[in-house]
Amino acid sequence: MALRVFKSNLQIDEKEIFERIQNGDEKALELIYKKYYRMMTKLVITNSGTEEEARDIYQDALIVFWQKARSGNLVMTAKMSTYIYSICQNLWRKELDRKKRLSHEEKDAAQSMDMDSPEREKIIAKCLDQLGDTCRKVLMYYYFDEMSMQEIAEKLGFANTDTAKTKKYKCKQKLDELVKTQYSEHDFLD
Amino acid sequence: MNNIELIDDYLTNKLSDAQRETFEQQVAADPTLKADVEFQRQVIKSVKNARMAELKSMLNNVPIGAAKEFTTLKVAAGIVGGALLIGSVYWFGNGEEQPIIAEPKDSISVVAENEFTPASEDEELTNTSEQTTEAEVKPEAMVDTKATTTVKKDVVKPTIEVVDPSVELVESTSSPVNHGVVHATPPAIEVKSLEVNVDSTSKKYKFHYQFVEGKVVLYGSFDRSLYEIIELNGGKHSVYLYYQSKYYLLDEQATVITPLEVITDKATITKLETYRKK
Repeated sequence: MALRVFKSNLQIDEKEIFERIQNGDEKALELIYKKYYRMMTKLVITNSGTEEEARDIYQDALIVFWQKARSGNLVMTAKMSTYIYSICQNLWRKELDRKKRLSHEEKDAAQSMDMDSPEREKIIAKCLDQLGDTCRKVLMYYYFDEMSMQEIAEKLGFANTDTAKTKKYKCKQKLDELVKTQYSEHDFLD
Repeated sequence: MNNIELIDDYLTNKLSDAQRETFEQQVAADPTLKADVEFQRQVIKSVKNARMAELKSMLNNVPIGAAKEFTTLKVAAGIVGGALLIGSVYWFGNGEEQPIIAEPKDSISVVAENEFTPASEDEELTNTSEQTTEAEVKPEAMVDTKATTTVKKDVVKPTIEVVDPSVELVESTSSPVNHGVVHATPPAIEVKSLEVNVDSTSKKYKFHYQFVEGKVVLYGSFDRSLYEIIELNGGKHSVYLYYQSKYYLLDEQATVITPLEVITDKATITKLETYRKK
């Protein structure tokens, strides 16, 4: 039989912070980032990682957490830290696997596989910047944070969801065009 | 719905199963459409990555020092509180050179899954496919993000939980109802924030252990696979090690380096097996 001992002192309002994160409050994300920094980075550092790797993994884990929380598909049944901790573990284990592979024969293969993508990604990122702040945010919120049109409208101060929808559509179209132009300049589109 | 929207809905996983199937057939038959989908996929992926980079740089600018005191205090309080977790815990050695958690088939993802019981297969599938563009980045993390609508009750059940150092435990607030369950069936199993260190450098001690100031030090190549520390709080307090399908008693009086001896008593093994699996 399992025993769980509960302590209620020293507790912070996890629920509130989690809700803020669900609502896309970046300040809340910063808050937990600070709060669990040592605990999470220690996991990596004590498992043959550097401080920098630890920070990197922790940040990635938090972003995964953020995205999942944001998308509304995450119901917290454990503490946030438990959840984030397990994401860190998974990411770090993966990174270790990757490093192990890289140090072996697959080094060349792994490199060539990544060759074309980063360059294209850079181009797209550049185009995204050219779109201007509002468009950039609309697209990021829509695709990454998976915000609803309602949320996007509220967050960016649009009149209603239709405005948000139109905005998203137009921004995406503009981005596609920009990228295509850039691609053809780089001979990506044959 | 025009093509652009259709592709967008497809890539953001907003199509129904039937729509998706039809669309995929279209894509398979139409190279131009296929190229469009690929292009959109890349653009969306890059938008996501750009957002990730933005969030990361935001976090990078968060001053950590300010939180240090607060965090340390909590960690310390957690240790003092002897915070506990349910069931078995996978410990990773401290101060190790070798990647202890590098074994791909070991239990880490299992841990996560048990902990966050996926409640709906549908959502699970949706979620997974939705993440396809990022799958190559962090599929492992996606595994545990499957959990969507876990029933509260399940919190009591999962026995394998990630070791989550003190802070998490200090904050535990869920209903103390569990106590009732526990007392009904002694001895209780618990996993404490007992610190474990692994020393695999010693040539002399290949499969030994000792207790140093309340911490367990394991000697040997424990990095090869994960081990668990099981504490039983029955009539008397005892600590066991589970490693490669065998159980070992960790005598808390063993302050000198002691060889690990496998437990052969069937009754004890059965008992431990039961607790570990719960």
